Amino acid sequence: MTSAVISNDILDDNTEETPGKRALLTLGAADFADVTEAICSVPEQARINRNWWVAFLASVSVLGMFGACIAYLLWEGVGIWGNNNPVGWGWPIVNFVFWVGIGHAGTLISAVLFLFRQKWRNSIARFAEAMTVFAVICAATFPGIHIGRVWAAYWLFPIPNQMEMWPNFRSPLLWDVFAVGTYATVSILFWYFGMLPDLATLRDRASTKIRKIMYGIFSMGWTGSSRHWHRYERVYLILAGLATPLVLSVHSVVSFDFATSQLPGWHTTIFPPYFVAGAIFSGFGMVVTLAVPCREFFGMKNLITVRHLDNMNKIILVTGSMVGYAYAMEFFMAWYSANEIEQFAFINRAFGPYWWAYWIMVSCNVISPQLFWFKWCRQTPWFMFVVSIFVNIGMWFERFVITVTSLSRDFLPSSWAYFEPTMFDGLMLLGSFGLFFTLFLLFIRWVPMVAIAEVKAVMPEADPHYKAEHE
Amino acid sequence: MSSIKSKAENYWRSLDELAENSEFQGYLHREFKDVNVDAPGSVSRRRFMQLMGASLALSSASGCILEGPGMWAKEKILPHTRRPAGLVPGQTKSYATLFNLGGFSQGLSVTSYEGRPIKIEGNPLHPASLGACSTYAQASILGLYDPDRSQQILQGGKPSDAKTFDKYLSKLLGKLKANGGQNLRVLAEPSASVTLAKVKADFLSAFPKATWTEFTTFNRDNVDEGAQIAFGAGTRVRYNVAKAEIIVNLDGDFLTEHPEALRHTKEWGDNRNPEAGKMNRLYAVESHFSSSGVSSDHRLPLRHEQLKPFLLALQGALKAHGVTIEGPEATPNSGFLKAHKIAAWVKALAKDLAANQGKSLLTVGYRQPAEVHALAHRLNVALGNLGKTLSVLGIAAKTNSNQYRAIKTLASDMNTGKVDTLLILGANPAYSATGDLKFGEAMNKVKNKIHLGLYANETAALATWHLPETHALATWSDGRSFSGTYSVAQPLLEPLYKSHSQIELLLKLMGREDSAYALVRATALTMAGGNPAALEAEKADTAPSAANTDTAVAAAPNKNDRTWRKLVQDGIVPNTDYPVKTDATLQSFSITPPNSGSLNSHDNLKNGEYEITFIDDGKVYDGRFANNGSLQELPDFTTKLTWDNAALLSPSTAKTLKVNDGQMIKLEIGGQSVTLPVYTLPGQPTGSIAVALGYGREEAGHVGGSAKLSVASPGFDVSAIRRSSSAFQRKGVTITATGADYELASTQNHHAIDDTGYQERERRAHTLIRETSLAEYQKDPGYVDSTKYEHHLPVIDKYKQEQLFGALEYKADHQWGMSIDLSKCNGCNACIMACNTENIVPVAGKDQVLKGREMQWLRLDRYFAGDEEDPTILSQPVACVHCENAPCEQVCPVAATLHTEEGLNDMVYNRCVGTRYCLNNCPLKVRRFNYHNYHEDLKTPENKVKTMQFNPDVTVRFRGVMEKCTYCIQRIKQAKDTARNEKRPLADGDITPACAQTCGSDAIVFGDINDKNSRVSKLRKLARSYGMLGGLNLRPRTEMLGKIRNVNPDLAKV
Repeated sequence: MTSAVISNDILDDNTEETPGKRALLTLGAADFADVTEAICSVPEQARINRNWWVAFLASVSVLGMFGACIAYLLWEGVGIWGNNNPVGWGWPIVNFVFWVGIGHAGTLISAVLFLFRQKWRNSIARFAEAMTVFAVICAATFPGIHIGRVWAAYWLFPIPNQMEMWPNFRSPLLWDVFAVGTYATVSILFWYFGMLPDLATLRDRASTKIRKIMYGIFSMGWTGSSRHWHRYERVYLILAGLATPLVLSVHSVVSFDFATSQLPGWHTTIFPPYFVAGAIFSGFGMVVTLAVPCREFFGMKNLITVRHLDNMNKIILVTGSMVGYAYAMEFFMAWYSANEIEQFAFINRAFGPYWWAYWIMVSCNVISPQLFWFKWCRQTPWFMFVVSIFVNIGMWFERFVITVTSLSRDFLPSSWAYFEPTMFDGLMLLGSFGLFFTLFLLFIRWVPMVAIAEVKAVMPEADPHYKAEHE
Repeated sequence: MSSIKSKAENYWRSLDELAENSEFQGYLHREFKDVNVDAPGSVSRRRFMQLMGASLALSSASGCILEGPGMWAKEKILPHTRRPAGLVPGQTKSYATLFNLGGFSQGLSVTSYEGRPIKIEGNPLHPASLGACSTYAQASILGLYDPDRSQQILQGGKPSDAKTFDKYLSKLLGKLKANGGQNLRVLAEPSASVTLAKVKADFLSAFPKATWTEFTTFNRDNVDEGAQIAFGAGTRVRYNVAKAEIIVNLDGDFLTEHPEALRHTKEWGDNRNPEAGKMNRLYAVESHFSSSGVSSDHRLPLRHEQLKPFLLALQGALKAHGVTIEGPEATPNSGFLKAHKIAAWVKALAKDLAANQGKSLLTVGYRQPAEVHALAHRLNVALGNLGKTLSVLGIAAKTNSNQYRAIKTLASDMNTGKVDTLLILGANPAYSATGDLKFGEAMNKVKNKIHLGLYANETAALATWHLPETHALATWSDGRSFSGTYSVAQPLLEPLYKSHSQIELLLKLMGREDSAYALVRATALTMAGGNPAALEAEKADTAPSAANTDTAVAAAPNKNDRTWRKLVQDGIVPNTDYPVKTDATLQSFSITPPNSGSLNSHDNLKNGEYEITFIDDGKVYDGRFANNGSLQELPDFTTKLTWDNAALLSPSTAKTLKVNDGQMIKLEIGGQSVTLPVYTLPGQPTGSIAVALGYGREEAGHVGGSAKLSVASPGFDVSAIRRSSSAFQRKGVTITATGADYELASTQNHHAIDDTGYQERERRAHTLIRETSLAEYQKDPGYVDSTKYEHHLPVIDKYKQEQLFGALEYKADHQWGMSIDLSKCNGCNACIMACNTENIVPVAGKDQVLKGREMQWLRLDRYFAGDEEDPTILSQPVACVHCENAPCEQVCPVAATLHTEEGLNDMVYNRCVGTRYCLNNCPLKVRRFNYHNYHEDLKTPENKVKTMQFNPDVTVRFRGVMEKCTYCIQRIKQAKDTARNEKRPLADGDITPACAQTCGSDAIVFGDINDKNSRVSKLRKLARSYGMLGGLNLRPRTEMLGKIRNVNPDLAKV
């Protein structure tokens, strides 16, 4: 059975705003069965296509390399990185903040947009959430291995012990442990919970015993009864409500790592909102990076329509501009503070030895999203893909600029030093992408990448008055 | 025991097993098992170890190793059934001994922990030390435990044994005795030891035809010859810096390079006290930035060769001021004076000197030729300084010739076959002789070459026989200081390896069986006024187990023993100074006119007319300390270079030559050339290139480089372009860039940084190091007020109310604090070495320094200010300042860095997980992180001997842990325990951190700031006391005292 909906031909244009009429969020005149078929067909393929295998093997190899690097790190010590005396934090922390930032879009899409009744979020929520979970996993690898004595990492947790020794609750790093931990827990819960009806669908459609059992276990006895649906909707709403403040809190707390220190370039009150905006910016950038090829390869163009992409690009434009504003405001505040050391920190960012990193950041984060003022740019998949890559690069550099340039030149010029990354800094950044894509490809292979039930809910057919005669 | 390796392994793996081993036992009991110095009849070694144990300590009692033989066996019998009096296990003891370098001794007080010396400090009673200690002397404790030290007799470079050597020796000696030492030459380093001098005399009478040559690279022949020209033979000039109000330091460094540098530093520092109205003025005219130059109030960079015309010009100007100066010399032409501020300098200096007659002092460095010294003496005498700021000591007239000439003669004798047997005692001429002598090649023409040395070095590789030398801390010796004070050097432990001291080897060669101990004792008693003849009759000390307190001294059985015990305990024999020649008068002499080249101004010099000077950079000396990692990694106090020497060029010379830092250049002169990297140093005179000696060793060891071990050597050997006729300076160097690059590891960003950074650094340096002139200071004593230097928020005043988490209360009785007087710091690096050896600060290695991971807890921040060609250096010791409101503590997630109630910012190594957040948040960046396991070398059994030096009260930090200055918390604890045991309150001065202890000028003062009368409280109350980065509300416990320069108004604007 081939349905129109899984054909990759774009059948309609839903990007125009027609007054008085809601734009369609699924195209191709699909009905419920078409949607189910379109989405389930991907994990149900007996043999997934060769491209998936190529991508998967590449990712797993990189992941293996990541594992080898970590093993060497544990053997030899953190000296294998380029960190030095003034620059105590280097690429690992940059990578951590980068991945946590990316992990933002998922919860924003699934929780905040849900509460705001942004129905278009339903098609992208599932894999945005998956992306969140995987990005947080990537992020979580770094702080753990970044410390000098990895074997004592658990001391960061408030575990009761015979010494009655508690962690230092004044330290933002400890707040970080809680913030990221909470965020990861709620994200995984939210993601998994939202997946229950779809897992049940896969169970019901399963053609092999093993699939039936596995999906049966993971769908936790979902029957689709009204009572189940009722409770599902309630819990989903509550989880969305719980997750919403976390969207703001997690990156605010991550920004406290910097903001509560007294290092010029870190010590600024603008950081929490600026970090959150940047995180949403980078998260949406990553969603676009993933969505564009996914809808292309797996025939989702009529479920993740150009209108969806257009909406995401608008958010990128808005948050990119906020980030740009924050950059400008940092300079203004430095000047306005009349503090010479603060002023130098920013002049040094733009014109010191790391000028190149600063201007890469500005070009990618401030200038490139401005292209989305143009409709063509917002609606042309290959183009937005390129821009989204720039956004990812720019956001990595933002964290690099904040972390490394500030540390490399702080108060005493005697201690200034230029940070030079080593091979392992590079390999481990690459390796984290291996981890991310391995998880993401496994997700695509085994789980519906679009929320079947939720997409159905926003189809015209879901309207009780669908096809009813209007008086 | 077959090989060195297995010995070392066993040695450390299983003490007990080894102690059982009869061979080992044997050599523990008798250092020279096969040599038989313990023949019956003489004082046995066992005996003298007993004696030694009885008579040592400064404070009391014998360390457990010292009062009996077989120190390792002791481990098995602890606890003592009858504890030797005064011995408390776990408690350290201090013993007085000596450090001899360059023929002069410096008194030491060595801390010993259960038989192993762990820390070297200065002996407060010794006039060349006064409690302070030079960097070299302190670092020599690391040399004692250097696993690369020679441990075995080598024949032709291959391991041999004492039996084979003895066989060889008896044959050789038979021949030599028969011909009276025909064609026998001894090459030794100049020694401070009186006993050695006696043994030498005996040796020369036993072998009357032998010749004895002395040689060391940084010898003071120029100085001695200068004194001889000025005051006649047998004279030595001693400075009385305390009385000098105007000091002119001419191309040298009276504060670090002089044998009495520590006393100079102390006296200079005591007179840098503006509050007490004592403020000397220091001028420095020099060809290389010295520590005196850094400390000076005015500095003039001049080429080495220009010193003579400068002094002649000064002589002329002084005459014009009415100072009567004998001497016909003409003033150099006005062309010379025009160049580079010289005229203004000469004028101002002459005026200042003429106005301060009898209170001024001109000092000249040893690299300047004798004539310049004589000329300076003439001016000193003319200014009425003789007998006031300098005195002439009467010493034995010099019998040996100039050392560089002597070694040249020796080399040519060797080349012409006049030498059959060459005995080398300690020296390393194959490396340190100047290139023109080709000493290595000359050695090949000598049949019998015996080398006694601490290391199997370049000379050992060429010698027929190499014998391990006993380390100075493991043998009896003695020495006289620069001023003549006689001291005994007592051993702190038995030799770690089978070895000979120089005295012992000479005795052996003469076939004598008396011990060094007996000889030293006899010398010491003679020096102390005893009757040598009576000594023989007296019985030796019979109460070896008695404690060595004053009571024990008194309890000694006879007068000689009492004297001996006392002088060993004190480390000095009083009243042994050379007599002051009150009748010394200036001789008449004339000075050869300066050569025309030296009159050339800097700007007229062309490539090919440049001069090169050879300096001692205070780290590896003449190369003998090249295998000391701690010294190699010590940042040079001006360049901040570690692990290398470089051609130091002034920025304008570098510009002319179009070379940058790290580029390799070829220095060519007279057909010889060397290649080494460039390092531009502001303040280096244009056209004058300075290069440190002692680097590029071929056979130093695992640290200092070794061709045999395929270890690249740090730095570059420049002996090829040195000449014995002009050892410290050569003129006419041609420089060409080779195009190659080299990585120089500097601990501080160099001046060659981007403009943004450069300008900011210039601006910030003055806010960190707050200096002013004396006149300005008297007008505005509170000039250091932070609000004038940095952005300052009003919140500072409401410190306690505004604290987010509530301010810490410091309620304990003692509140520790420190004060660092920038006016007194001369940047000598001794404090860093003190800290390194006290606190087991690891050596990270050049690759780590290149990455910015040096580990020293204490550093000297150095900033250049002013004109690039003639800058001043602002220098500041920075370690953890123990902020009361410490930024590091807030951010540590595991609470590994915390405050004690006494105000210490503690670092709990056990708790640290290494997030490095504290490092990020430390505004002074004083925290040091163990990025790797910097003690990894200890995994190798041979290297385990290094752990003997480790302070047992300090934790060895593993990788992944943060560390930093602790204010020497272990010393605080010890002092508190001692006070408690003695049932008395802690007194000011009971606690001295290692850095403060060794500071020659007392620039660092530590104490209780709760005690209103403590020195530190008083200093911190001075108007010029300030905390760095006051705007951050750190409330540091270490405060700086602003630097005051005593500016000559006539030069202020030059």
